[in-house]
Amino acid sequence: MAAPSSPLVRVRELYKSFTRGSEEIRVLQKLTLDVPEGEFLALMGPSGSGKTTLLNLIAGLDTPTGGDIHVGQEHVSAMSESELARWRTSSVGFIFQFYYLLPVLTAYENVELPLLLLPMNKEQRRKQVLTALDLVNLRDRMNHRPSMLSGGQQQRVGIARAMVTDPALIVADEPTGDLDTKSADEVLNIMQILCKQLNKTVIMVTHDPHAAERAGRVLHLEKGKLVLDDDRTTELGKRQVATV
Amino acid sequence: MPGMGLETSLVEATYQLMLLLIILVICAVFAGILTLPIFYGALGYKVIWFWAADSSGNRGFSKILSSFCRVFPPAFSIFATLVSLGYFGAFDWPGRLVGTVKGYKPGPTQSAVKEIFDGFTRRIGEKAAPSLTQDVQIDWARCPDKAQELVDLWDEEQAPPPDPFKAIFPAYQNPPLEPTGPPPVPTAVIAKVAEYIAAAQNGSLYEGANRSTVDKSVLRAADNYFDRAGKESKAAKEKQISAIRAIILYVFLILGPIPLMVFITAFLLGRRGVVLGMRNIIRALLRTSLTYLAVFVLVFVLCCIWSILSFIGAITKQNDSNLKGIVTEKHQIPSQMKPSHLSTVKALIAELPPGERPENIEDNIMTWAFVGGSLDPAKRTPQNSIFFFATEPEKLTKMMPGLEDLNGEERSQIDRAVVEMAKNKTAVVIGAERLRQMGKRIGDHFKMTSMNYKNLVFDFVIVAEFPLGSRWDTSAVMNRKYLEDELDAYAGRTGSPHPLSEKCMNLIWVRLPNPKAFETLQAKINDPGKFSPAVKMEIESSAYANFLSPYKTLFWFMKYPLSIGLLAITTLVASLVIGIGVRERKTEIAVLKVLGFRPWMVLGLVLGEALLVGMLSGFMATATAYSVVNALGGISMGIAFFNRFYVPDDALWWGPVVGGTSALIGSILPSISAYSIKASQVFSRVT
Repeated sequence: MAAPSSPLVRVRELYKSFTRGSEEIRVLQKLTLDVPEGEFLALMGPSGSGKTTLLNLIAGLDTPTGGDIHVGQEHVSAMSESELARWRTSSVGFIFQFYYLLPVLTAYENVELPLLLLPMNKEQRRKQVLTALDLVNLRDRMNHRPSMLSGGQQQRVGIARAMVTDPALIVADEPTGDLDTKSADEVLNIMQILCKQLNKTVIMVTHDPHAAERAGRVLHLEKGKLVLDDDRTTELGKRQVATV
Repeated sequence: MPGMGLETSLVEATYQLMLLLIILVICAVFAGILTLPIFYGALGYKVIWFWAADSSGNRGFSKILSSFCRVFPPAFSIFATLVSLGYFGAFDWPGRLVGTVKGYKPGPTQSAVKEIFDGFTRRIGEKAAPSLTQDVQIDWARCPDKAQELVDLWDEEQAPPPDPFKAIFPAYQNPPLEPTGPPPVPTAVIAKVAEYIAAAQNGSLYEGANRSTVDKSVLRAADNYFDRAGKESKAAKEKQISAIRAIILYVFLILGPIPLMVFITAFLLGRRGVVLGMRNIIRALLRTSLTYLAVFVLVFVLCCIWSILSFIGAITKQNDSNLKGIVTEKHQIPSQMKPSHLSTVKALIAELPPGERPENIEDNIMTWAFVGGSLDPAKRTPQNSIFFFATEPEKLTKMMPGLEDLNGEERSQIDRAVVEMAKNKTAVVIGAERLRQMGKRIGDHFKMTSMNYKNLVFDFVIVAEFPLGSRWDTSAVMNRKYLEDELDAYAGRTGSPHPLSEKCMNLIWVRLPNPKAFETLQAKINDPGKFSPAVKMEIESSAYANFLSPYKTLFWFMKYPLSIGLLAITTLVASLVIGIGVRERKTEIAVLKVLGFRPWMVLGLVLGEALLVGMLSGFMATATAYSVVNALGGISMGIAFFNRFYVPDDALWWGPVVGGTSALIGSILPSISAYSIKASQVFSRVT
């Protein structure tokens, strides 16, 4: 865990490109960014701006072509694949747009999945799972399979799964993209609680301005560059970062 | 033997193989479909335990049920594994490897388990289908009215049902079917006999009996029907016991070893991963069912092919600890030696040095004469023809290949038959399958007119049967003394010896303690001056190998192109189906990786699922082949003198090994694909 004054997530000169045939596609270009602990950050931008790529790099799902990423004390961008997997289990929670719950497992079992990789006994796991399910108000549905849950309920299970290992960082890729307004509000409420009451750092990719309003800070990306940093927690929060 | 017209040629054998393959595939498809519920039942059996292990906080009946389900499946699987594997000799294999358990003889563990299990199933069978007691004799002369009653009942039950089309079709257009053997004893007759036995036991049978004169033929008929009813009920009981044994063993095999492996894996590696794998198997019903069917059919066919090859391999394999030599005529086929050659061979054995000479020569030498004939010489059919090995009865359990290894009830039956044959030279032992083909049973008398020993007619009584599934279940054995006495009687009748009286020794078997003894004796016997006509001695396995050498190409084809082809197809099908499954679950696999599952865990999940389906499918294929094919009389295919082949006990481990290995190899590429899935590529939306 980072010291209170230093950011949890530190991105320096981040560069990511893909090769398609003989063409090099630059997705992120020399991006520098700090995310303090406990911040609710929204990433916005047009399609292809690199926001999901940035999210994946911060969450350790991918490795950058250049630059550095530090999350807490960990130099994430220098880790191997198996080190990243181990780090992700206890340090990052991921929330997907389409929930991606395992259909053959119940809500309880889906939430419990990440805990199976940690050295915990059955009772310890049960306690944490129930705590997570209580937070999202779904204990009464814990024995239901995803097919028996609504979209909003499934996403709440997804949130419970993301925070069951008590990670410092939670990343969410369009968490309300597949939900109706009411369900989306419920999900965003939970995410705000995670931030404010549990001091989690939440980074959310979204196209939805209503979802972005819930965030304390909004970053706009275009063509792989940070163009606007709208920090609503300060009076002078909004600033143009770059001209694309 | 060659020259007697009873062997199958190479061309016929090849044709039969092609036909067999088609039939096997068709049968396997049906068997696979019929056993699909059993497959899912076996999976469900494991899922019940996982459910129970995760159940907590239940109350009342739910709690009791989950407590029971938590304990019962693993406990039952342990018990079933111990019994089933013990029954088939798995626990004696360490002894076989180090040499303390010899050859294919049952080991001590197998003998003990078989004895307990067979005794237990016999008690169940006797309660379920008690047979008529064989100890009560009825004096029909004292109760002739009962005799008449029984005969009348028999006639009434045996009368054919009225022909509903008699008025439409004249009688001559509906010729009666030719009888294929004695008719079965009707249930009403068996019930009546049971009544008489009970009455005889409580002393009321002869009370108030109407002693009016009844024809002696009626009394004889009643005695015959009484006797047959007793034998039929005993046969029905034995059948019931066999069926009970087969069903219990099948259930033990299905719910024993493989579920136990799953429970142990769950215990060692964690339940959740195994649960995830099993649920993935069950949720994709169509894909899993297709994988099961493909593996089942191919392993079933492979099992049957290997059963034939296994038998051929066993008889052509030299066994140094039980070395048997065969002495035959050197320059003539069929071999027809003089009876006096036997004493010469014995004398040569006695000359062997200590260490090479058998301890008791008489116990280690046996003669064979081949006596073939028909029950109806005017109208010979395969059903009424029979081929006997005329030999010394006491040598059956000492020297007869395969019979020396019998134990339990099967051995006891043959031991009793040996005693009976020694007392009664007309007593014979016939294989169970042969009896079925002839429509005969133990206790029946029949006359046989010999085809090779012209003008000799033998009057036999069947006293025992060779077990179904043994090497001899289509063969028959008679007392050599009967043949010799009939040859003497012929000489007495006609004034001149029978043409074959000096040629009635076809084979002499000699058992020797070691290969050195064989070499020494072989050199003596092969000496041209010793015997006239000259004879030769070969090792039993070599004799078979030489005899089967025309079929070498066929065996090569079965062993290599056919077997490898079947294995390759099984692997390919498994690979395709598992690959489709991995592609369908690409996102789920990516999610697991996002959550922190290492690539090797995902690889293990895919491999584990493939292994479970492959092993269970393969095992069910061979368990079904073992029980059904053997119960139906084996694989019918003529190779030389062998017409039927049974699935050996070893097939029970072929199935899981072949099925599991094929599925495992087939899942390598898909599991590497799963290993290589990058979560970022799955979830990115780069345009």
